[in-house]
Amino acid sequence: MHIPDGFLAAKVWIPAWGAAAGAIGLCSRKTSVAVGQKTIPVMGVTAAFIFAAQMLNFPIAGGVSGHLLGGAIAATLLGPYAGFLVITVVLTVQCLIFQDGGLTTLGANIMNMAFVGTSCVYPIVRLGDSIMPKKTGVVLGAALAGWVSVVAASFFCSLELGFSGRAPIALVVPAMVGVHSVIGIGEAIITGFFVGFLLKTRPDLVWSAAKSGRRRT
Amino acid sequence: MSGRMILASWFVASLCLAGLVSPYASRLPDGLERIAGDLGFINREDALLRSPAPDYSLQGSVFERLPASFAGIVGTVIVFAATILLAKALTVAKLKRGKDG
Repeated sequence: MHIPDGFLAAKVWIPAWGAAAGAIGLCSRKTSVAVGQKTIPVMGVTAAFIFAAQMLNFPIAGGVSGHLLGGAIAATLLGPYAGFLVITVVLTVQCLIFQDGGLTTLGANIMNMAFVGTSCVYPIVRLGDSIMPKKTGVVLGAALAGWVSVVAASFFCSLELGFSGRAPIALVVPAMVGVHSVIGIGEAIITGFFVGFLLKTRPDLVWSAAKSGRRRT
Repeated sequence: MSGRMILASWFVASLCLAGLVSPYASRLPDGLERIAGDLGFINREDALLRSPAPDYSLQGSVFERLPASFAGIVGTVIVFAATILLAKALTVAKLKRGKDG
């Protein structure tokens, strides 16, 4: 879903860059309050893992592939602010070094995949945690949040394309949301397994588990 | 397993994904590329930037002779280092602002 240069009109990518700059400022300030010496290596490894996992495109039906976005993993492990920054670093390196996503469109990509992709996660994980026992709620909540984050990101991406006049909104929105509601199933499965594995082995590394007041082991 | 060990093994696993598994990833277009093709705006794509390794390939660069998976490994290390530097910078900023920051 990395938008290349040329796909968005200036009237869309300039405001998107403004919004992304604001989000980076806000999350930097909030993270700098929350970050502890112990969190720093977890942020680094989470970012490295998500970058690597994003390279692994899996085929879905109809000659299309998808890959992990990682917003739900980042926000479940690190909370929404540090999670946003981690995805932003991944997107920036992809843009600058690997030409995956454009420079003008980096702001929009940050808003879609980092901001939308992480901000919808925590409420869903909390909801899962409150209605289901033990760790099941966090795991299923994170999996559902993975699906929602991909579909929501694709919705905003398609609106940006529509407002840029690249395709009629009535066509591009259902097309993008439709494809990504299938890709999102892959995101949900990977996120659920990964969060479940970490909760079993090292629950103290999972921010959402710590927030829900579980005994740290 | 200690926290340090699990983080180290997680990082090594990430390097393996980027270096060993990524050559076997699907080459099919992703959702956005496919729809851009179907709706006829794929030709609007244009690159303002000349990246060192466009599309994770080293073709045409000075590193051309290295295996393709090298790009994934280098990228993983760069992302790790950039995130650590950012997090440390934020911690320093916090200390400078004092406890109320």
